[in-house]
Amino acid sequence: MKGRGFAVLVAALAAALLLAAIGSLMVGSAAIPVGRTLELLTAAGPSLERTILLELRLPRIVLALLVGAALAGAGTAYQGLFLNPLADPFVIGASSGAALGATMAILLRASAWGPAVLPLAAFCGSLAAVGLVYLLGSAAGGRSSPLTLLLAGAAVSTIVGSLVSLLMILHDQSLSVLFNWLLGGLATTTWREIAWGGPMIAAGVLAIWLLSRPLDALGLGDETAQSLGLPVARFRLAIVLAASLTTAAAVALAGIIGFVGLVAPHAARLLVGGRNARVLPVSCLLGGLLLLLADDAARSLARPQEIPVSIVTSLVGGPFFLFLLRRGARSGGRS
Amino acid sequence: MPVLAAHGVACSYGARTVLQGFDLVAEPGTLTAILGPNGAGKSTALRALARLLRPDDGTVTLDGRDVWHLPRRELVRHVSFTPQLEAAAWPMTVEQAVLLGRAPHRGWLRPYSHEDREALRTALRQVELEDLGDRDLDTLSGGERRRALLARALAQNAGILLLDEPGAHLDLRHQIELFDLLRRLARDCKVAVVLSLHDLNLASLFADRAVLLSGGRTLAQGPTGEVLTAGLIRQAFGIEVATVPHPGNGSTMVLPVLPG
Repeated sequence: MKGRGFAVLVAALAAALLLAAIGSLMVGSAAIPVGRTLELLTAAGPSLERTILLELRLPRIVLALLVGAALAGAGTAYQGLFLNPLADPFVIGASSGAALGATMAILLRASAWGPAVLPLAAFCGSLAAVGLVYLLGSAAGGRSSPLTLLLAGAAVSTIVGSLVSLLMILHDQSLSVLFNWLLGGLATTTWREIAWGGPMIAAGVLAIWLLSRPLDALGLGDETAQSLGLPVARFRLAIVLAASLTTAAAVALAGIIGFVGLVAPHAARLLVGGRNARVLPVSCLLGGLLLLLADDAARSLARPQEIPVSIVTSLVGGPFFLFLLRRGARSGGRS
Repeated sequence: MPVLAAHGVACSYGARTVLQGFDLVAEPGTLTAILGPNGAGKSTALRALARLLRPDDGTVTLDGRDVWHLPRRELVRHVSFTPQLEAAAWPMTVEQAVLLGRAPHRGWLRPYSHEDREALRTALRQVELEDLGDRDLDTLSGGERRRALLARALAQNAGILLLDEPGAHLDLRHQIELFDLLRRLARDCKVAVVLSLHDLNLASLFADRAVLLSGGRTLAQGPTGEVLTAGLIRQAFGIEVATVPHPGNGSTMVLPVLPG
C-alpha cells in the first residue's frame, strides 16, 4: 500500500470513529434524540440531560476509545514480540497480571495513597506475568515456539486468575466492587480517571510506535535482527515495558477485557501489511472503534440492564481466536 | 577497508564440536568460498565470523580487534550477514525488508533519509528487483526472495559480505548473475565476499579462494584451483570425481565418476 492509500485509510477510520462516538452519545437508558443532543452539546447552562451527556456518556465513550486503542496497541506489540498472531494482552497473561496487581492494591486500600497506586500496581503485575510467560515459554531452548508460549500464557493466566479469585473470596466484603471492576467496567468512569489513564496510554502507545522498526526486525528472527545490529535483549525489554504499561493502564481503568488486542492488530495487518509503524495506528483506531461498538451493544442489548462489555468482546473474539488457531494449524505453524 | 579474520576458531553446539581450528582472512577484493559436505561446519564458520555464535576457542577479529569487544552497531556497519533462509513472522514488502539493511547506519529510531532511499534504489537495481519493491516477500519466488535478501546486504553497504548458500533456490541464469555481481563487487568495490557453497563448479568459476571443510576441520585452503583436486574432494565428500578444465577459461570442473 502506498503512502496515500494509508493516509486515506487512517482518515476514513478516524471519521468512522468520530461518527460512532457521536452516535454512542445517544445510546443509553435515557433517550435523547439527535437534534436535542447537538443542541445540548453546544448550549450552555446546566440541565439533567446535559449532565448525562457530558459527565456520564462522554467520559464513557472516551474511555472505550482509550482502552480499546490501548489493548490493540499492546496486542500489536505482544504479537510482534512473541512472533505469534495469537498473542494478546489477555491470552499472554498480561491482563490477569495487571488485575492481580490492581486487586491487591484495592484490597490493601492502597488507592488512599494516591491515584497513581492502582495503575502502578497493575503495571508491576502485568510485567511480572509477561516475564514469567516469557521465561517459561523460552525455557525449552532458543526461539520459543508459538505452542509453548500459548501454553505458558494459559498456565500463568489460570494461576494468576485463581489467585485473584482467591483474594476476592477471602475478602468477600469487597467482592461486588472487585467483581464489577474485573468484568470490564466502562460504566463507572469519571474524567478524573481519564486524566491519569489517558496520558499513560498515550505514552505507552507512542513508545510502541517509536519501537516499530525494531519490532519489524524482530519479526525476521533473532539472528537476522542481530546481524542488522539490533541489541535484541535491550529492545525486547523496552517493548515489554511499553506494552505492559499500556495494558496496565487499560486494566486499571476498565478491568479485564479480552480479545480486542487480538482482533484489532490482525485486522490492521490485513489492511496495511506487516509494517508495524502502519499496523499500530490502524490497529489502535480499530481497537477503539471495536470496543466502543461493543460497549454500545453491552448497554443496549438487554436494556435496562447492562451486560459487562468483556462478555460482548469475548463472544466476538473467542470464535475469531479459534478461527486463527485453525488456520495456523493448517498453514503449518506459520500462522 | 577493514579486514575480518578468524584465528583458530572452534565452535560447538552443546557437547558436539562442529568446527575446530578454523582460520580465514577475508581479504578486500576477493571472493572466498567455504566448501564441504553437509554438516561440515560451513554455516557455523559464517556465523562465528558474523558474531552470531561465540567461539569456544580462538578469536574473530576486525582489523585486529576482537569482534566480541566491538559495539555491535560498529561491527554491522562493516560486516553484513545473509542467512540461507529467513522466515518472516509477518508479511513484509521488499522495500521494507531492504530498508532494514540501513538500520546499522540510520539507527533504530530515526526515520529513513534520502540517502537511505537512494541506497534502497541502488540495491534493488543491482539485483534486478526494482519493479517488485512494493510486493510482499511472501508472494515472491524463491529466487526473487534470495535476491531481496542480497539487496538488504547491499543496502547495508558493508565492506565485508558474509552469505550462507546464496546460490540455493536460484535457476542457472540467476545463479550466474548473482555470482557475477558478487565477483564484480569484490573486484570493483574492493568488497570482501565470504560465502558457503555446495556447488563446486560455481566455486571454481567465481571464487578466488576456497576453504574445504570436512567434519569441522579444514582439509585445505588456498586458491580455488589448488583446493579442488580429485584427492581432496574424495577425502571430503567420500566419492570419486574426475577434474577437467573448463573449455572456456580453463578453470577446474568437477565431475562425479559413477561406479561401475
